[in-house]
Amino acid sequence: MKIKTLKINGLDLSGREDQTVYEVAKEHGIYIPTLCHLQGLTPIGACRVCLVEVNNRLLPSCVTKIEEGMEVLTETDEIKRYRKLIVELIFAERNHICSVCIANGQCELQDLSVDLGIDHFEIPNKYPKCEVDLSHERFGIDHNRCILCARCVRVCDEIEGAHTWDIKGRGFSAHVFTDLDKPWGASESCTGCGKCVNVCPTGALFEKNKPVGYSKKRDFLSYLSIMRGAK
Amino acid sequence: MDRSVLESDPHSVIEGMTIAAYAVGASQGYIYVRAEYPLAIKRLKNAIKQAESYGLLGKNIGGSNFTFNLELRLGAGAFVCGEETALISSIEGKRGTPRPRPPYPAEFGVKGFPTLINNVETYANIAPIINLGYEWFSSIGTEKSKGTKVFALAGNVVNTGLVEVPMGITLRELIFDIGGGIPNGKSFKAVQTGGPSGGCIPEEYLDTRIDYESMISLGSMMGSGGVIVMDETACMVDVAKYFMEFCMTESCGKCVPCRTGTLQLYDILNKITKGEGTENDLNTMVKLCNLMKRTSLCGLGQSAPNPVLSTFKYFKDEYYEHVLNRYCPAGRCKF
Repeated sequence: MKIKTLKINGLDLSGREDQTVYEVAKEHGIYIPTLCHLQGLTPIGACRVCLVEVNNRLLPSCVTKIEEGMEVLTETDEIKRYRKLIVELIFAERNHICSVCIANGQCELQDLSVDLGIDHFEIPNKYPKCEVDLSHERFGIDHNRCILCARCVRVCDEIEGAHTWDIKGRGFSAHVFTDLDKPWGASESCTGCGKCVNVCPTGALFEKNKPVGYSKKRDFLSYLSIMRGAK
Repeated sequence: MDRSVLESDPHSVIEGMTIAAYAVGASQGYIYVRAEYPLAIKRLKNAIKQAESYGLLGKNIGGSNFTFNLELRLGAGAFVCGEETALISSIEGKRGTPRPRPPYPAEFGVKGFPTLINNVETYANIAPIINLGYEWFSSIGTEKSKGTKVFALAGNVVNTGLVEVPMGITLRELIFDIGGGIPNGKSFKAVQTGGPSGGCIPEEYLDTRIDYESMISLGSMMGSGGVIVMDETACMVDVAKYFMEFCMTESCGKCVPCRTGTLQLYDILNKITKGEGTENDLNTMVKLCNLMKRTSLCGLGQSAPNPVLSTFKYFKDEYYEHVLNRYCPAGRCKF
């Protein structure tokens, strides 16, 4: 395994050649916010919150592998501005009303907006009509809170191996669904393991009759990436 | 335009692909074509069969030990599947969504193999270049953009249809000499080049020579070679709205800036054409355009703001007339 050296925010750092910019930054205590990324799942670079500047290009740090002599900036004014705007856009897309949300206080989107200092919205809210599926015996999904991070899709496919979840539709009408668009309760492939609920960053997926603090275990996958070793 | 190449001369594409496969050592090729082009599919299938029966495709081509198989893959007509990584995942039978690059398809493409991916027009050019020599090809066109380009002339222009012209001719020559100008005694207003995510170019830049760099510097692009001519009756806000609606419905929904940005931009443009826009909306519009250009995952999101930014740059007065005076200079928008 080769070691590569790079600069992040002017600091000379080094990392293994298979590591991403995000991983190296995290190892050295440099905070880069993320939403769709979760340690242990294949990164997809979809939420664009973890963007960093390399050679005047904005790249998602969760999927960008480190390169020798790379110069990375994680907190330019432009990046800060765009991160805020992206999170605002997510809030405006569906109905994220924290005060009546099951995940209030346990929500990564909420935490991130606090971290980024979002105290008001400039982007008009779309208030779309979204469904709530409570057909599953133990779990429920509220599409109003879904941010399409695809963590549930990935954890179900990569870790549980069931591939119950997927995304259908295009653009703003895209949403997650189970099996061949059956209600979750009628899904034949769902094993009821609850991993999707564990990793969901918001209140979209939840366990019935349980405080969200008990059903969200978002870092339970960390051990898997250790077990996989160099991979 | 690519459809007409596939329909009229599919052999040129197959020949170009076989040569390219020989050059890079590939043994499997795919032609990705929309299912909405049944004639192109029929003729491609026929051409592949003919090539195979002549021993120009398949095992041991021309008695050599070079083997190349060609397969058709039918797409369901998603605009985003023109993006190379989305096209690859569609070929693999997955959802047609792009993935971040690097790794580029040349390192990690179809099923993880290094993949050479090119447009129909590019492959169709290969055999003539090898036959007649690169000197012949590079004698046509400008210093940086060589050869010819096929444009699809459409809109308010006398002669519509496909034209092949050398790179470096001016937009004026293309629209007025070849296209025959604007019909019904109307005057020229703008030309949209490069398909739905290209930009609108006003009259003062009509003498620009057409090449890849100049199109981009004008805020547009060469893209698919679509050229839509608009006369004085076109409202530029309405035009921007039309193209934004297309990008909004064709966004794959994977990355946030494109999925939600196109939706927000469409709503703002819709508001303006209804006479409900405010100056603040215009500021938000520009902010969102810049965000999408810089942060979107693939080319669709990065270029979707082009129609808005270019019309706002060249026809700013028209936007302000809508917003401040509730008046549409072209008479298109009804308030």
